[in-house]
Parts: sequence; structure tokens; C-alpha cells
Amino acid sequence: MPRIGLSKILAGTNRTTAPLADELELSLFGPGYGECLVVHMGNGDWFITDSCINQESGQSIALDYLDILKVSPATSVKAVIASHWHDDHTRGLAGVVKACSKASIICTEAVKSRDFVTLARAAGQRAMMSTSGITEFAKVLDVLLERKKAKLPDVSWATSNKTLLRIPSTNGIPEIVFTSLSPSDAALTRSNLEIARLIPTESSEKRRIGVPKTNNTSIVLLLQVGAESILLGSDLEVTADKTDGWTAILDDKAKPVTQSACYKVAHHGSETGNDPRIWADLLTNPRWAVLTPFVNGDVALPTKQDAQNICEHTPYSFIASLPRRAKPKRRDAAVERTLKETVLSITNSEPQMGHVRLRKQIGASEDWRVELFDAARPLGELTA
Amino acid sequence: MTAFAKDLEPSQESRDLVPTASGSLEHPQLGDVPLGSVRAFDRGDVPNAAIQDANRSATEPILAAPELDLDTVASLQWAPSPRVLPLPPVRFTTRSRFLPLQKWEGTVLSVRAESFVARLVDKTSDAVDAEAELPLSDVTVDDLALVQPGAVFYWTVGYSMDLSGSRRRVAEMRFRRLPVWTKRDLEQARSAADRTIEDLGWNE
Repeated sequence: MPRIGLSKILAGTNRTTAPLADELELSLFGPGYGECLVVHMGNGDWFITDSCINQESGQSIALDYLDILKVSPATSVKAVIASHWHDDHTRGLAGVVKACSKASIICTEAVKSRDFVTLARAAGQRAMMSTSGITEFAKVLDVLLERKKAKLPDVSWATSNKTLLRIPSTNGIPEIVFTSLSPSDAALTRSNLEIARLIPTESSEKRRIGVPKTNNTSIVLLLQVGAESILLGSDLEVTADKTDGWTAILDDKAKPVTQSACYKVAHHGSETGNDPRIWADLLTNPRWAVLTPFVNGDVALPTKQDAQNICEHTPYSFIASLPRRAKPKRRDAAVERTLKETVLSITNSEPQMGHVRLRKQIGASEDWRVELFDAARPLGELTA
Repeated sequence: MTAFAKDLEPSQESRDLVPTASGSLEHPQLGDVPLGSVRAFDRGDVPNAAIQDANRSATEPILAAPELDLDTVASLQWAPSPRVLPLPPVRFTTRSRFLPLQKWEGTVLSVRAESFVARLVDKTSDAVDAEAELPLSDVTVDDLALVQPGAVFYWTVGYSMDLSGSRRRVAEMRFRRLPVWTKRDLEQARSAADRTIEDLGWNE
């Protein structure tokens, strides 16, 4: 196993420089509760997977990032993927879908079911006190209706082993193929049953409407640019059922035969998102791993043990921010005294936003160059 | 001074009344005028004193005048001559005032044996959301049944000021009572969904 050298980790200093036409880029953003991926496929073509909000601008961090690179989302983003509809992956997605007007929108077929759309419309009937993935989906539906009227690209449905996008070789950049490896049919069927159970019943309280808790309809994506490939694990988990989750992908003989050097670790590095066969079968060695934390309520991922597991697979592991909550800023002295007397614990709900950026020249034998911005850290720091 | 306070033009008779620390109004000619629950003031004339918080200096802006109503204003403007008992019908209420310092809107994330974890959205400033573990013992008995994941509550910390001018630091937590889904709500959601699916061509 190669040891990581300091030269491989560069504290990001100049975020505003766009990648060259022949460079692949994977930018991962994570504020602690949220995830967004912005990927340059070459030749100025980009895609965005999921979305989280930049607290400073109030809009998706993906749009802010493209803006500082002087990249037009309207013309340069070829695909926007909603990997699943959990709140931490969807905030600001409606704005992204609206801004990326020429992009294909990619979702799972679960969302086109009458029950799922009913859930969204029920959630949109009145102002809910707090947002959830389904309320963001309600906004996305409205943008999709506008796009339909304007005859903009339609929605594509991701399933296991489906080619979502194919861009022919141009200007020396090899053919770009974009494939979904999940969800499996079995996962979609189970999800539809779960969605039906979430529809409110008459006389029940108007509580926050949620989405299915399971992650098994998450879209795992494989980007291939010539011989280069990137695996994006979304939040897919390992299940006991072989027709579902990672096992369905790993056992599928029909999936593309390739190994990726770069992996967006599934489900925030949790034990349930990790199957040793992912590392053995789907990734090269050496490999570069990136992930976001998940900090919400009693849950903080990855744990120290999760981080150790990942670091055993690759020393080139980076996290957008450590899953540690920051202390909130001091308030009025009287409020602080009340908090001290009343509250058992209080922290900022989200650590600071961080950004891991990996770049590599397409086809070159060089390693991926790593840049860490803001709160991003080598994952090894969590194991110390 | 608020527009309401500025419009207040007390009669000479009213201005002559001087509140005393004993809880009465003293007129230069008529002496003490006991007024029962009148709040003690140390400064200013009656109308001004009545619309000012006793804890504020005379130069501080007046934020509200909850103790005076329109009848009071009219009475002060048309007060009788000093020969008649000059009792302005100033209504000094016994209500205490609340000065909020911090407001949060909370959503319950999880409930434990003796506490609950909530995400707090700061409604006073644009601070980032906080997450807090709060004791269930701070929830009123009436609200306890409402403490469930997804429940929304409002939490306010501030000063409660009583009539004597003393203030207490208090925290108030109120859980939101949620309306229920009606048959009509659900039918509307279904038909809106059907229209959306039709318009998007997802039923083809």
C-alpha cells in the first residue's frame, strides 16, 4: 500500500481556476448535513449530483461554485442527478434544476409514481414548518412543469445498468459514458410500498411529511471517460437481501467491466454503506476516496471506526468536514445564562462547509491532485 | 416616541397629577388621590409616566404604550376643570410585560427518556441552526404529549417585568398544535398530483 506524501495534499489556495478542457474534476461539498457533487467530465461539460445550501448565499453550493469558475450552468451542465430524496441531498435542488436549463434531469422511477407525487403535492398544500426532501421535490416538480412548457430536456429514469448519457469523443477527449448501477427493480418495488404508507390519512395531524427512510433507491453512478472512471456511491447501503443495495450491484454480471480510481464513499462512510467487495471489485489500487459527514440528532457519521476502515482501504481518503459540531456563537449574556441553566447540550447543527477537489489530466499516468478547502480534512484526522 | 405617544396631548389638569411612590396620584391642590393598583412612578407626569417603562430613562425611546387605550386618550384630552375631582380614567393594568431576547423555532428530532433533541432555527438573527438537548421537565404538562419527532415548538428567552419594575429572566416553550388532514385536503393533493403527472407526461 503506498503511503501518502505531503505533495499529494495541497491546501486549496485558488478555488477560482476552472479545470482545463482535458482535466477531470470531482468537487465534493459537505456542510455536515448535506452533500453536493460537481463533476467536470472534460471539454467544459459538467454534471451535478444532489445539492446542499451555501449558508452565505442561500442557494445551492453547486451554483455558487460554477459561478466563481465562470462556468454557465445553463449551457455547461449536461446532467443534474437527484440520487435520492433525503433532505440532506436535496436542499436547493429546485434552483439547480432551474438554472441548468439544458441539462437532463435524472431521478429514479420511484418519483413518477402517483403516490410520490401526491406526497409532494400534499406537502406543498400548506407552508410546512420545516423542509424535507419531499417539499424540495414539490418545488422541483413546479420547475419541471415550466421546463416541459419550454420544451427543455425531459427527465431520465435511472435503474441498474442503464446508460444515462453518452457524449462522443470530441477535441481529443475520449467518449464520455455515464451509467447508473442502481436502483434495482426490487428496491423500487419496496420503495413504492413504503411511499404509499407515508401518505397522510384523514384526521391525522399535519406533521412534516417525510420520504422513505431507506437508502436503497439511491442512484449509484459510474462515469467513464476513456480509461478513467469515477464511482459515486450516493447513500446506497448493504442489505441482507441480495436483490437490493450494494449486493445487487456487486453480484450483477451485466454491469460495466471497469475499476474506478476515484470513489465517492457511500452513505457517509458508515458501516452499512461499506462492503469490502466494493474496494476489491470496483476500485483500482491505489484509489482516492472522498466523503461527506452526516451530523443530525444522535447520529454522527463516519464514526472513528468507520474512518479507520476506510483508511485501511486507502490512505488517500478525504472528508469535506469532520463530523464534529461547533459551539454556537455567544449570544446575549442573559440568554447564555438561561442556556447554561436549561439546556443539557447545544451545538451548531452543522459543522463548517468544506470542499474536497480532485483533478487529473484525462489519460495521463499522473495521480489525482487533491485540494482541500475550508473545513475539508484528510480522513485520517478522525482516526487520531 | 411612537406616533401613538406623540398624539397624546394631556390636559393641564392631568399634567398636574404627580404619581408618588406610595401608589397614589398627588394633585397640587387636592393632595393624594388613591388609585388602588396604580403602579408607582418616580418621574414625569401621568400620561408620560403611564406610557413609559419605569425601568427606562426619560431619554430612551418609547416602544409601546400598552397601558393606555383610546378611551384614556380621549378622557385626558377632555378632562374636567380642577374643581371637579380630576380623576383621569387612566387604566393601569396589572399585566406584566415581556421583553424577548432570543426566539427559536424548534423541530423535535428524537425523544429520550428524560430529554429530547431538537433542531433550533434562530428567529432573532441569521445564526446557523443549532441542535440542543432539552429536558422534558421544562415542557408543560399540557404539551408533553406533543413532544414527538417532527413536532414544532417555539422557545423564547427574555425578561418578564412586573408592575413593580422588577424583572425576571424567563424561558417559555410552547408546542404547536397541528391541524389535521381533511378529506378535502387529501382529495386536492390527489387531483393536483394527477394534473402534474398528466402535464409532465409521466402517465404515458
